[in-house]
Amino acid sequence: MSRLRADVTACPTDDGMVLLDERQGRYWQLNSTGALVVQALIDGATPEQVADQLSRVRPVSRERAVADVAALMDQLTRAKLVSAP
Amino acid sequence: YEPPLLAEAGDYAEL
Repeated sequence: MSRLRADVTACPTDDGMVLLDERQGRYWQLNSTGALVVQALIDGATPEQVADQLSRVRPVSRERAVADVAALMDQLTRAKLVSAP
Repeated sequence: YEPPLLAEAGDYAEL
C-alpha cells in the first residue's frame, strides 16, 4: 500500500484538499471526492475499503468506485506524490 | 457523484 511521501503535505480546504510537494516545488488540488479518498488512505484504509466507503456515501456502484480509486492512485503515483511501502 | 480528481495547480514558490 502506498503512502504520501514524507515531503508531501496534505491540507484540507473547503472544497477538497491541496497537496504541497516541497521536493518538486509544486502543489496539487483534489476535489471533494479525491480528498475523501486520500484522507481515508492517510488514515490507513486500503483502496478496497475506500471504494466500499465511497459506494456507501455516494451514488456510485462499488465496481465504478474501485476503478475510480485505482485511477486516482495511478495519478498520485505518476505525480510522484506517494511512495511505495 | 463526482469522480476523484487530481489536478496540478501550480508552483509552490509562486504561491
